[in-house]
Amino acid sequence: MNCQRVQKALSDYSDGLLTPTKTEEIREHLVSCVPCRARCQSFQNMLSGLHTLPPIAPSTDFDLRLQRRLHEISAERSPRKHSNWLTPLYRVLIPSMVGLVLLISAAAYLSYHPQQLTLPSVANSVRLDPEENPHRVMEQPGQTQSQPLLADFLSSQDVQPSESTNYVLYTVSYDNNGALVGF
Amino acid sequence: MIPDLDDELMQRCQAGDIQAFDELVTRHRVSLLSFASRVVGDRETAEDLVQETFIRMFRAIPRYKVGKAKFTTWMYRILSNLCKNELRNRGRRSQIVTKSPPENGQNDYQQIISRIPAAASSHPDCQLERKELHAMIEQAISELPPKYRIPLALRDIQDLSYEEIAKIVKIPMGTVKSRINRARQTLQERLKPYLEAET
Repeated sequence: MNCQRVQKALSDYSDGLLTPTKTEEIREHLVSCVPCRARCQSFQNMLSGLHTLPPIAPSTDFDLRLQRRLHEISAERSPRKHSNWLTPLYRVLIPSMVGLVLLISAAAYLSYHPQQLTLPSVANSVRLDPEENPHRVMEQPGQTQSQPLLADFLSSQDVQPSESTNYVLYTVSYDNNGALVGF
Repeated sequence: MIPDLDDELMQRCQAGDIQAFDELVTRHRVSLLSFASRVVGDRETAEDLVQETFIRMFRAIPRYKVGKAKFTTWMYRILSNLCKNELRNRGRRSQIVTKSPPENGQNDYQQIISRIPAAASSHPDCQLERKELHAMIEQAISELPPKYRIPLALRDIQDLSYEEIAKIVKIPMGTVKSRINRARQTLQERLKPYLEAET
């Protein structure tokens, strides 16, 4: 092993990272080569200097400053902890409230507009195309055509109800001027 | 994997034991400060960086996973990154502030050498005091490029293994070895007269 290779390997040699064979080669070289031996000694002195650098103690207010900052962070975290505790409750409560409001709204709507949702049963209704049957059934303005009048209406139209036919009765509402206001 | 003392303390922190975090601070503050001071070359800044490291650790307590990585690896990674950012920002600041060469064309290291009595470096019998050698070494370290400085400090000042350094700095182990080797050779070259005087 030549001097250049020994110098390059000094770092690994000092850390014991070389194979036993290479380590032995370097040892042999150092025994016979004075400049490399001096260089190796100088290298060891430097490492020794690095390893013995004195530890640096923190200043007297180091702990106090750190404690203050940690307390600030803890204080920031406290409200978050509170909200974290409530989060599962909110997860159940908010959808429940939304559902309840929707139910109440639907119930209120039904109670105010019952006739618009009273669709007749399909089996006893008649399908009337407005173009082919331009008749409008209207008892009184503002009133609604409903299922009990179906039989009368069919007979007035000379239609014999058949069990094999599906009838659809459209329930409509008109205002006092005869304009369509509900369906 | 058996949790070490640091992991046990972190588990206690996760259970709400604030005292455990104080113990962690007491255990590591000196070694962290010694490392940061040598890397950034300025004790006041180093203290700020170490404080920031502890703050980040404190914030990360709920997310910390025992056994995922070694505690000291995680801790030094936080501090190394802070040191790296500090040096990068300092480099930018100094580029903006001044580009003029120092007085009489010498850098800090050369100025320190010039203040040491000539006999100390030239007379073979005159041994440089250990304290002065340490000052020289610290100055020489602070003039290394950061990419050499951090692995060197982790290895030769903090006495960490190559494997752990590779994980902290996030570079391959071969690169860690070559950087430490280069850093040591550079230091040896700069300190040559004084190291030989020691022998």
